[in-house]
Amino acid sequence: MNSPKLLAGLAVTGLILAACGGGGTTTQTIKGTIKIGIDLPVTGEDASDGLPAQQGGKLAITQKGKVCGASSHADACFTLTAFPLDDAVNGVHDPKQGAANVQQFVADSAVLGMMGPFNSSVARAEIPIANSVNLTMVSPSNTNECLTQEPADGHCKGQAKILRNNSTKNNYFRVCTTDLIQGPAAADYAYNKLGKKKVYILNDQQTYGLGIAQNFAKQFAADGGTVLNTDLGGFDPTATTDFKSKLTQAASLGADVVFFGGTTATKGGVIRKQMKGILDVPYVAGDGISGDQFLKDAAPNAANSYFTVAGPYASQLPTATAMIAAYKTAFGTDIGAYSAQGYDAVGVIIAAISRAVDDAGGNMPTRDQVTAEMLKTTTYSGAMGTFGFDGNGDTTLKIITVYKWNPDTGKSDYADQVTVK
Amino acid sequence: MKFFVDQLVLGLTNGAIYALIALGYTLVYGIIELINFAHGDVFTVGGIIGLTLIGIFRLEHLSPALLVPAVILLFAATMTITGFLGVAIERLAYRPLRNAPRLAPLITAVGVSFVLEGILFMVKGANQISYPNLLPSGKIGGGAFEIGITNLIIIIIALVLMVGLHQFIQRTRIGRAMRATAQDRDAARLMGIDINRTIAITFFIGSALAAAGGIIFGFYYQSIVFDQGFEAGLFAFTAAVFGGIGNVIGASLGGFVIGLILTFVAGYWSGGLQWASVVVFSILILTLVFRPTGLLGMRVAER
Repeated sequence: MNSPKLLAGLAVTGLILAACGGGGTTTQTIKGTIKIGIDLPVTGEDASDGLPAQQGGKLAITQKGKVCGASSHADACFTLTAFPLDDAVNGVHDPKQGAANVQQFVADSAVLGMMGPFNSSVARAEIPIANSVNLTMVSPSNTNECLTQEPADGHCKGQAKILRNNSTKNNYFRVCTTDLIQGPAAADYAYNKLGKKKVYILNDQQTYGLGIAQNFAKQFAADGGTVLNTDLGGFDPTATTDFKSKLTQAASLGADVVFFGGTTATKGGVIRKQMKGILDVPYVAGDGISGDQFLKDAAPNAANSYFTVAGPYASQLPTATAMIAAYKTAFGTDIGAYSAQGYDAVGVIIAAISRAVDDAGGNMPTRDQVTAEMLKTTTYSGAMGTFGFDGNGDTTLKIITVYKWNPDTGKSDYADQVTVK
Repeated sequence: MKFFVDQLVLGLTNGAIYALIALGYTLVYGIIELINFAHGDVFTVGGIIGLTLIGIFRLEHLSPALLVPAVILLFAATMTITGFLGVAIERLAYRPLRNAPRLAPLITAVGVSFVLEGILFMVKGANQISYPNLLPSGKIGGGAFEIGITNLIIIIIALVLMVGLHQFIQRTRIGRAMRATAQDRDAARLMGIDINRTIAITFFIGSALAAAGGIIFGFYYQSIVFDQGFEAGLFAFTAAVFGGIGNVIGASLGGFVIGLILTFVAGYWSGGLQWASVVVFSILILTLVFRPTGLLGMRVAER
């Protein structure tokens, strides 16, 4: 951005504000309370990802404190509060619990939008419920493409339409890009940057895990690499404890990299641990293994593990500096992999509510009005940058970051950042 | 060839763990005809108790010379503590129901399983818990027959425990009392055998063996999680049925067979990982339908 222009703009805004203040005609009145639901897994294995995202969302709410009309009804304000719920049961995200949480949001007429869920499998349970009352949902992290679109090869089998009860209304948005992008970005990284030619794939057969594994396999083969197991190594994460025989098979086939489609809670770290001594090659996965629990589960074999995150590396973005500092002040810790996404997901909802307050003539907007304003979002400036939503509700900002786990520091190091057009 | 040997060793290692758990199912069933569904969770508790002792006595930092006696003591202490847990479960949950209809203790066993899992979840949380391997790692042998030392030791530990158990049951007075109680409880009582004590000892032994399995599991996979006993317990139960429930040698054999099947299915069949449970439980069903007494089982008189 051209900074003199920006400064001039600020100066003008300041003048206008000063003018208004001087006139003393606009006194803001609080007309009620608007709640923003937050549904994420914040206990157990998923907490290391879910909690920082939840805190990002809470930060956006506490910073604003209230929401007023965007322009014509700037004097009509509503107090903002967070309504956070946990969709983990026994420490693992649970679609049934997610659905029950959304029922709670739906039943509370003050909830005009929700941030979440974290997991694609939970989203499949929640979207139909929220869609029936047109409640805006913005996920910080759902990357399964079938939630919003029907790719040309038809592999989603019309799921997006079914999830929306065959209606044309769309209430679901996301601020991260899809596995269609995450899987191929990981494949390109493994093939081009790591120089690996033979991949062995394992996946947990859940919506997210299988999807990202399929997209990885497709791109890895297109790049010129060999996918050693075309069945993509599906397993039942609640029943499988022993991966050693499968990994021995991978070693005998000459695998030089292993790709895992799934999360830490579905044995992502356990598999890495069991690779030790059997298959000592790099390990690549999606954002499902981005939480700290991976290091504990995979120790002492966590080194040489890479993961992609459908989103930018916040600390490398100038737009996120203020948010990072505020987060640290508020929670005493550094941001997590999804804090910026959580922050922007809530931020974009608040912006839409603000415009909807105008649409409602300064009164409490309806959920339909909020969703309609969400659909019109084209240039929201958040911590991640400026983005909008396409007709499916997918973000226009398609950034993938590659991280490498560093067991010595207990953190993941930035490895690479890819923006897909 | 190398691949086959690798899979064989992995299968036997898994089998050793399942066999140690299966022994507890079969001992208890043999003596009071109760399928103790809490047994899988006793296995997890044993692993956790072992981990706690390792932590308290800082066994990870012991010099190699002291490690052998330390590991033996670890097994002894863990097996004793877990054994008494088994006795307590029997005393509190099963003995009051000994003369109740057979469904009552079975349902209670399921309840005890949930109680144990719930306690483990509250105390240890839902995450995988890291477990140190105090057994030597590295490989022994050469060429196709290069096998992991950890695997070898695990199989040996399991075999030693199994042979010890067999000798105990066949040669000691208590063993004879156990066999007598299994055959006919009333007749055994008339002969002056303390039935309550004999049954308590049976639970002690079964739980102690499961605890050994729990430590071995921890050493081998280097992680443990609160609900692992559910699945492992069902696999071990299948092993006990397959070998002939009530039969100690049958349970050991069944454990190894189930371990080998699980491993070979995953190792040789490209989609095998997702079919492993299906194959194992199909075996359970087929055994129950076509040979309910199992491989080595003796026909139990209907009551």
